[in-house]
Amino acid sequence: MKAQFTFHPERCVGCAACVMACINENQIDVDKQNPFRQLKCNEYVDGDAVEVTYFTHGCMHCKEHPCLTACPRGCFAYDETLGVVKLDRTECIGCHACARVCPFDAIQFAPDNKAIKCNGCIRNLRRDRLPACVMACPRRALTADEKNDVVKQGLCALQAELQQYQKQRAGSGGQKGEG
Amino acid sequence: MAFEIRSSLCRVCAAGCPMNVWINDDEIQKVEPAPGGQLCARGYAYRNYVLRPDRIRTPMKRVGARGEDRWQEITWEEAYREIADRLNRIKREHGAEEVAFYTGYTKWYRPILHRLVHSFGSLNYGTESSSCHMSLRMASMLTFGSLTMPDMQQSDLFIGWAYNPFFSTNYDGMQLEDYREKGGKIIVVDPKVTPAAKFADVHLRPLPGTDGALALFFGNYLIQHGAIDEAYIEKYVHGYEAYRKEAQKYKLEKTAQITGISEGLLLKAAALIAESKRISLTVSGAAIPHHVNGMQNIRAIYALVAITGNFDREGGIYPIEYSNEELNLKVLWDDFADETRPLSADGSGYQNSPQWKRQNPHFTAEGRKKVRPKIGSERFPLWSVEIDEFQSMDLRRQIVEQTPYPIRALVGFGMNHKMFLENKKLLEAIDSLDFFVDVDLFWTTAAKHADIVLPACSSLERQELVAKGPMVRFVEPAIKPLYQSKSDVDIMCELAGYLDLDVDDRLLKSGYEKIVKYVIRKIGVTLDSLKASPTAMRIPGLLPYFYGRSLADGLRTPTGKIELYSETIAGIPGEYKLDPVPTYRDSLNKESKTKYPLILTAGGRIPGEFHSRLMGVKSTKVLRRQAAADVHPLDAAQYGIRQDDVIYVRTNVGEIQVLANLTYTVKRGVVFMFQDYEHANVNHIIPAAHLDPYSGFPGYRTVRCSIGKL
Repeated sequence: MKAQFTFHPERCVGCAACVMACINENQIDVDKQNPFRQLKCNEYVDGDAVEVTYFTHGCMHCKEHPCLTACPRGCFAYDETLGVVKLDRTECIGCHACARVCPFDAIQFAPDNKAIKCNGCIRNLRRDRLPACVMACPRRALTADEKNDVVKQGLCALQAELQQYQKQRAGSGGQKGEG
Repeated sequence: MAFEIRSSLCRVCAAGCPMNVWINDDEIQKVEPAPGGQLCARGYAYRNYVLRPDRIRTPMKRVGARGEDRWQEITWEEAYREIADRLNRIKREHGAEEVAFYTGYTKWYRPILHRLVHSFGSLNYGTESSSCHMSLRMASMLTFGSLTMPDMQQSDLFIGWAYNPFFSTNYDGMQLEDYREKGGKIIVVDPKVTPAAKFADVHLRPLPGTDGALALFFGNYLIQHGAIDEAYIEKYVHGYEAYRKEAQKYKLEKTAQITGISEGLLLKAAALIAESKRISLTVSGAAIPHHVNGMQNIRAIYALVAITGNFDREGGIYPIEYSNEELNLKVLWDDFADETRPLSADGSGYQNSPQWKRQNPHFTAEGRKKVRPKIGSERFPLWSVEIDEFQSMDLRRQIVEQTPYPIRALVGFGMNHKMFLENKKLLEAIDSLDFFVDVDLFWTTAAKHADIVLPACSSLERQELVAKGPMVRFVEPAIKPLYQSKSDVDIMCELAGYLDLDVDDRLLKSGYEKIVKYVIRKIGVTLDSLKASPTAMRIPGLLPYFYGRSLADGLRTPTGKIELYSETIAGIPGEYKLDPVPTYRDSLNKESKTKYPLILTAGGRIPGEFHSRLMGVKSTKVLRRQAAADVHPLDAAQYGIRQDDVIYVRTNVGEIQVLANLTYTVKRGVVFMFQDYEHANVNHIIPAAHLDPYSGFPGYRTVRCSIGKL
């Protein structure tokens, strides 16, 4: 079993099961940090027609893993066997270089200003079980263990949605349409 | 370290999805769906729900003023004694009817509470179903004599009326997908743009509450275009002619005007219905009834199934309750509550319900106590006949006006006052009672107004018999009850031992396992076999249902036919002005359109919340950080409102302050607001009299309002 997430926006219905499954699996205290997957949506309007695209973003454990080269302290490593981008935050100096290059806005900083991110539910992977968010998705909008050359293929669907969201958010000056 | 995975169930909502719980030294690590199952966002928050910091830990007695939140710990024994003293005295001096029993969510223990009320000598049993599901049940019963299910997979067209399974039950969503892949057509009727609407061939966005007019228009169109089943109508439908005359009034132009849907789209949808032979349909039990013409609107929707010959036919909708008792083999909860039932002295109420009479052919009045009719019977006579509960939306008026007789004490299980209209007035009314006891998991606002509070436990901490269709399961506790909490049922059974009951109810006092053994005695499984089975067991010997059976046997309606003209409604005295045919009227309250130009729609599910149950769980707040009203961007622009501005939402009875969430998913002119926020308590600003005269249901979703920036 490998992490290597792929996200299929056309299948996502915004039910938020993956987000809550992430919190449940990792016992996340949401006062201190966000879950490793976050749900957002974009609205596309054309006359009377309204199209809503839901998507969740987090670490996709992508093959390119630009975080790995961006980090000046070598905190990141790639586990070939499990397909997981691992983060050892001991040496982290909170420079945010990794977050700036991440195409999926997946890296956040804990109150101690050290990076944190999804570990692909590595415990599950070692037991040949799916990561919690992938298991939770009732519509297989989020899958693991597929070929995920997402970044190399140019702008992937998830990135496009994320950029659209950030553009809108910058325009409205506020947080938009979660859940 | 003692690590174990135990099998239990999620009880955030009534679906009761099987859930496995990871336990380490009696502490919950996490939850996960049982193999092959799914949990939704709420289910994944269940650990945090069970461990909510505001769990009530011990029985408590009020020492300060009501609502002041000052308490003294007492023992269970002391609590039971004091409760029994107070209730027994009221019963002795004034009669058992002057104690009202009410239960909020969930539903698993209800027949046991109902029996306790009966044994105590009263019919005053009410539930939160006065604002959820029961209006749909009334419409189903009056029309078909049964609740129905859609036979979606066999149909050519599926109509989902206020249908969005992705924010409530995931399983249904998967079904929708299979259906679409097979080429089935879908119409979704919903003012909001939802994920389910993405699957629709036609998505209709009527103004809230205009569903009845829309359905009557479709009926008229089908009749005009000969797309009805005349032989079926002749044989099985009662009151077709009266219905046809009513439907005739809903012509294209008029309907477009009422519903706010373009003529073109109305025709497109009508043509799709007319060309489909097998039509299945489902109606939301919450959204559609939440208008003051809601019950009639549902009947108008069901009429479409009747005139096209799609009730009790393959690919249509099928009944789940039958005249033929062989088909009703099930856990005998209804009988359990019935066995100690007293009778209404004036002969009014549920004992006149046609389906109850059919269900209880051997019921005898002999030896039964005669008691005063349940409260609210005079105000909502149709509800009173059809539903075996008092209409609890009338509770505040009842307490304040004391007619036809006073209510002196209230026994609440999970009372959530925020479900009620102008609910702060309900708290004031409760404060005027002689005695109020509330059982809950959490320190809710209502609990803080009680004289005695008792701690209940969650589904992970108790035994529960789960009966769902032909499947039965017995769940053992995954963990010990936290603190001093107990199962609601244990509280009921133990309290029964202290109360002066009219019936020496040994069965009720004997506890949950004995009761379970009693109610499963006819289904061919034993408690031991249920306990030994890791999954749900199928009731052996249950005959498979085949289409047409109910129509052949005769339905459980007064005429035995599908009633488009309801003989039950016709039997209600004329002064109530209830129409036997499914007439349409505007559901908006009659306030000034200039002063309140927008429509407030309160209710509707959002992922991660369910009523107020998860409000105290902080993890679900990552999905919506603060209470927010959904406003159409064009409406917002008109009032100079931007994303995340603090706005007021105002009606003729009050105002709340919330954030604005600008979204095109709501219809222009409609403001959508989730219920149950403690400090953005939207139901409190809905006028208390805004109730459906047929069902007594609150008109949560059609209230005139104005908004503005603060």
